Amino acid sequence: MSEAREGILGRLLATADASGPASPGQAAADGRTATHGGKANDDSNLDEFLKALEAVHGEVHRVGTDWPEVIAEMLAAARVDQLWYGANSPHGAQLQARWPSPSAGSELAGAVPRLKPFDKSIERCREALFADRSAGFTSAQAAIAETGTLILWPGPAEPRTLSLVPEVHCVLLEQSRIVPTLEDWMADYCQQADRPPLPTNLLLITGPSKSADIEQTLTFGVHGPKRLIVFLKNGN
Amino acid sequence: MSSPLRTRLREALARAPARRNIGRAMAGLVDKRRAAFPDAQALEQLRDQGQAIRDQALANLPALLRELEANCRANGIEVHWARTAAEANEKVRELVQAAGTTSVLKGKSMVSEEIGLNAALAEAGIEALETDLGEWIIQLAGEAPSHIVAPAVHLDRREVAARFREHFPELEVGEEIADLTALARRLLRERFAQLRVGISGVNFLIAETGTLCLIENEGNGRLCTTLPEVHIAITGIEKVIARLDQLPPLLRLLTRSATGQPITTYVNLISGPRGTDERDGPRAVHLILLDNGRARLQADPELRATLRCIRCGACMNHCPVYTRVGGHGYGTVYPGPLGAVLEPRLHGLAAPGELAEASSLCGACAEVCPVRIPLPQLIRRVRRDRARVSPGTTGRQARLWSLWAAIMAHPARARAVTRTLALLAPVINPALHWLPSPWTRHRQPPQLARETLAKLASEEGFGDE
Ligand code: SF4
Repeated sequence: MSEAREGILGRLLATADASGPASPGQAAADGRTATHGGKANDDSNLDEFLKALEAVHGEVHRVGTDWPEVIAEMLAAARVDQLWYGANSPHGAQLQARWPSPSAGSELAGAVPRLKPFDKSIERCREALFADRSAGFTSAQAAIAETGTLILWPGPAEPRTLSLVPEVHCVLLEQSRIVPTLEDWMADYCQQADRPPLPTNLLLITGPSKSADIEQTLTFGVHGPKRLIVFLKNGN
Repeated sequence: MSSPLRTRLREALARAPARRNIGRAMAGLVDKRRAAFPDAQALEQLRDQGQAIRDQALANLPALLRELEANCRANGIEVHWARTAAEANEKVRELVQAAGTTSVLKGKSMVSEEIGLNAALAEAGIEALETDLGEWIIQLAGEAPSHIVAPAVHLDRREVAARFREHFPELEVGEEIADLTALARRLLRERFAQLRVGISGVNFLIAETGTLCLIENEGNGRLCTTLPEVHIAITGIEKVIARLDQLPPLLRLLTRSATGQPITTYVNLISGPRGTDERDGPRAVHLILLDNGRARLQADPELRATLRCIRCGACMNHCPVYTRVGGHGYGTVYPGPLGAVLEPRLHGLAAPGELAEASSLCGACAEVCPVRIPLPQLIRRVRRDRARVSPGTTGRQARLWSLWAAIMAHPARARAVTRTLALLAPVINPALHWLPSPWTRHRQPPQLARETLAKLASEEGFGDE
């Protein structure tokens, strides 16, 4: 192997013994904290989630099975003209099936954004994805009550840029997927006997893009989405 | 008397606007951190845990690095090693040139500052575009970061606007923060859409899963690691932790200590390049593991604690010296208490060692450090090491102290000297005001008492014992 690799590892190994086994207690180095994690999953989760999400300027809408219509209406009102989504994603078919057709008689019909399936490689749709007034739709695998965090599990069906490049990010979240803390979610994932491998890009998203680099003053929509809208679904 | 550090500190102290901006920002960060840890007992437990996780990783560093390397490779991430800054820069240059491009995107990375990556790339004709708002501002201004978390903290909105105007004379630049941010968004998005290589740092490496964890708020970090065809991550060998489930407590400590945030907007866990049927993501991910003096720190049982650092910046935000002079006063990549300990190990004791003098040893840094690095103790250690290896000012101090020791070692001698000084106090005291020393320039000089302590004590009935 490379000279640098051997050099570095050799140096570390040479001192490893000399400085003794500084290995601290396994328990202390555990991920689950005594003070965080391990709480029960109940209604207080939801309240906490909503509060935390609001604190980071995320928006929430409670929805039922009509969620595609709700999204369409919201985006039409926000003058978004295209919504990108993963056609083969868990909710892609439903989104498409219940998307109001632009020709329908409703007032908003003319303003309903076009649905754009993300079915080509990014190289072939980069410019369109960067267009103004676009939105991206993804599902959330889970959410964290304590911090208002969404956990996204991108993959072939749901590309990672959906939550990054368009100006508005719409997320569908099942209410039952909210867990109290990140420690809880992580422990659940790690303890699965046959845990699926991590996706190439696991994402934890908490609110729209923001910065406080100028005078410590928060501004939103710096490089990523300007708005993050969570559509919260209860049951099926 | 006037070393480069002293000159820099004098200059920093003379920059009133920067001092005002930094002072205000640090006070804000101190408050935010305090509010983020309302339960003191829970915080102490969390710090124990953070320290234990990092200590465990450092105790098993070679094994964890091998495990990380094997798992990264299995995930399709290429792993490279660099002993020095030069080796790391050379590797990045090679990878960028292999990608056939001369412009690259950069996410915020202190390690890239440490190795002088941008300058090294420029020499090879490669433009490195900083994309973090703060980093971009100081890149336009031709400055270095003044804080490891908030690089442009020394500038206020008017100064930022002035720099933008200078740089983009054809654009209309407002002075509202929202306008400045919108301008950055517009100008940088064009580049995000075009450039084919992205360079980033890493916050944590997870050995068990071969994963790179990056945290940020703006989305520029994700854009740099997601959109380009090639992603090059560069970080120090100490960033590794053993297991995935050790990440949450470290994130909790890091973001709350840094800015008081419960979590950053984005936590980006990268475990490989674009998969075969994926539509996006880089086609290649490279991880460069940098030593640059870290193995030397690891070898020293006392200094090893420095490698626990998770770069939260809390030690700076709470440092009475840093909050007054800012990062530019130190003139090193890592300023403040962390810099005082780290810089001399990375770059030698000679010049950076002097940073250890720029400390009041008040202990605030150790009190807030989320992984309990005993910074004041390590700063004293640097001072000791320096006194041993370098003469000069410290040599003169050493002579004065041995004179003092020679006097104090003999009671009769000590009595005679102190008595003489007490007698001469009326003459010496006014003269002290005219001593040409930095001490008396800014402070009341100490005054000799008219009576010796021994005499006062015996009057109070204390014996010689
Ligand atoms: S030394 Fe401690 S307080 Fe300072 S940056 Fe590192 S982790 Fe944070």
